[in-house]
Amino acid sequence: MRITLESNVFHFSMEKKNRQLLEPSIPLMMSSLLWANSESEYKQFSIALRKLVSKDSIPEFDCAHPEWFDEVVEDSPPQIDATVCQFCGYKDTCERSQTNVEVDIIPVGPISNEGVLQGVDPKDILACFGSHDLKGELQRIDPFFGFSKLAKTTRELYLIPLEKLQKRFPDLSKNPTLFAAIGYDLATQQPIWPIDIRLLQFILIPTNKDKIKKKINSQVKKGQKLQLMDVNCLKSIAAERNWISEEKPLESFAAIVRLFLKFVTILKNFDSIQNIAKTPMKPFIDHPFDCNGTGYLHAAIRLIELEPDLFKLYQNYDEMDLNTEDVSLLKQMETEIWELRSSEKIKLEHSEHRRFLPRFPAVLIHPSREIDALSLEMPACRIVDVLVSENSKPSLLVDSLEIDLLSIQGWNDA
Amino acid sequence: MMLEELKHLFEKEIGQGDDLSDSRMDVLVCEHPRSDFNFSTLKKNTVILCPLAHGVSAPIRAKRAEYWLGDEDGKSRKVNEILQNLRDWLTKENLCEEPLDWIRQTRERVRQIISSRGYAGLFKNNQFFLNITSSRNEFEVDDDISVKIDGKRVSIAHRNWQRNAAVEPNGLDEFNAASQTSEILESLRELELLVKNEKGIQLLFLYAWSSTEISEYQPSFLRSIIQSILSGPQLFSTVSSQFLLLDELTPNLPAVQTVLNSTEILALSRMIPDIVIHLADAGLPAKKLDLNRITSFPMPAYLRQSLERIVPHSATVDSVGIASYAVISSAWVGRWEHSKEIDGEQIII
Repeated sequence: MRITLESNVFHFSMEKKNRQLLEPSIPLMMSSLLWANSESEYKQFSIALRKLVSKDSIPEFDCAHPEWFDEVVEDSPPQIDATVCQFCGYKDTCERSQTNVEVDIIPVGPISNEGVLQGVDPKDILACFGSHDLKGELQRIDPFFGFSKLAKTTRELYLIPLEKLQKRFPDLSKNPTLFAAIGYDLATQQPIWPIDIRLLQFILIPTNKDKIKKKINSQVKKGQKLQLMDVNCLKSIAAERNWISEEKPLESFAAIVRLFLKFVTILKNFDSIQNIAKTPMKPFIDHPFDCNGTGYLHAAIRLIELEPDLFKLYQNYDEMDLNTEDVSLLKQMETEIWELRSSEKIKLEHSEHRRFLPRFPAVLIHPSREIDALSLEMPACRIVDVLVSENSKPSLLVDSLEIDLLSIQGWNDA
Repeated sequence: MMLEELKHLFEKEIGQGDDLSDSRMDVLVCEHPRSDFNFSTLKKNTVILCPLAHGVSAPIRAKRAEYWLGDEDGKSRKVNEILQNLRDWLTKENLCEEPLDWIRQTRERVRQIISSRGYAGLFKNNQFFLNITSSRNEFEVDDDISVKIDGKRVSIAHRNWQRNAAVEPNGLDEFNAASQTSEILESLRELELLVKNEKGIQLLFLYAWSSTEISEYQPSFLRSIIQSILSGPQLFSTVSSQFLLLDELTPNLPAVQTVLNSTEILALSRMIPDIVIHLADAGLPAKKLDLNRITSFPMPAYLRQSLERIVPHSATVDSVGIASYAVISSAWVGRWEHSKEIDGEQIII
């Protein structure tokens, strides 16, 4: 399905078809333009071409530059139509040179006879681009204006069943709110946050990761403790993340404290982590938690969640600062952080070359029934507008921010 | 109806009497879903009252308003006006043989400057559009703006100022037009003003809901709520979006969830944790108030801890006998002013 949008500059509906030009000498005049030897010759051909094309034109809007054709403007500029603009010799120079914005809607899922996503009324798709001004007149807008740098340009948008998108991009960290999340990690299947970006910049350098691995295999100095602020914050996060074993809650939490004491101690050795830890952070904005500990604790937690193999490495480490029971006490946490991610991982034919995605802006098309049970913030996309319609199945119109969504694997499993 | 009543109260509060043009703020009601605004026609700070259900579209509205207030379109029109004035001047003064060619080339250069340095780049000295030169001696400074025509510099404006002046002229201040260039200078000044965004309009989208008629609430309570909205820190943002929910605290009322429709409930999920509750207890003791009703509002669980900021309304002169409360909260519209780290959209591509 292709939708033509009224451009920002042309003040007329692009849905109108272009006027048919019957004048036989127009092609000749066009080629004369191409072969003009001087500026003044080019101008003469432009004037002649304009005269030919303007025959039978329907006045629709003011010509921006009648003076370029030596037309005398007394009261108001001459009115022309889109076809005159399209065949203008100075089209590329004029500020009104924007071409039609054409948006192709690519369905991700079964296609209906009308060529759109099955179960979605084409009128609803069109309605996503419609808006009324205060006088009630219909305007065509780009719903992603301000959310996508490609807005108001010809591009492809994706129409995806809501359920499919939810299954393909789950949040395995089960964050309570996602409004400030800034991206999505395909490897660990969770949204990522501002603090994560800097952590990832650090940990994705192989030498840094190797250094951390090495330090995991060395003993923590005796007498080290987590700050009280961190212990309290960790208690809240561990409960929210469901890391604490129900059978032995106290012992299990003590094992979690030991785990993070080790990681916090390790991270304090790195200058770039110190910079992250010292940055003031706002709960739910800079990280996904509702409490603030020292920056090191947040860095350690997110590091383990984003690179769960470090957690696995810690569990396999059998030196003195890991109590013998710790491995079993961390079983619940292991399930949440490691096993869940391994078992629910989308099956890929080959390794994905891309690990991170931005959170895509999307318009939700949904019937009013059960709409209140939804979240407007999804792990891999942010719903910027909602179209309530009883004629379509729940689906999302997604601006993929230049990313070819069909090249991302796993849609069949979703 | 509810929005019209609220509009009337807002207008009363901001002092819109008979002479509307004197007031510092406008109030608009937007009743229909998916309504858009021609923001460029707004002349002053504006409160736009919308039904709560429109909150589901809060980000798209806020973004469109932000971009319009940036007045991209207005600046591009102003550039055209400058070029048109330059062309008129060239023709009138007979300064070059082919004014149209000169304009065409200059337009291309202007485009390049705008695309690389933004509109503000047009006011920096450059050899392609405005040559802004400065010569100074011990006491005075001479500034000159000129354009290059057929290889020669032709002055369009000039200023002279004392070096010991208390305040140095800023931007295009105090420039005097050269011969027949006053219109050019004027349009340059207007563009400079647009670039500096001295239009300075602020917009507040207020997504409002009330369980009962506005007239049922204590008038001074409503007044204090409106005052708190109008003086709130959120209004310092260019475009802000807030929720206002008004409800009674009478026992045996139907649960809030049953009164709100599904789209309204969905809109509430855009609330962010800076919620303030205003409470008018109608002189009733706390145990007679159904305070659980406040916490039973259908909102995301993580917001519950934010429901602790309660501002009591103490005026009793106009007490109406029925206790009521108001919930005021900002709506998340995808802006990052709260983050120390993030500035802008599309962080990862």
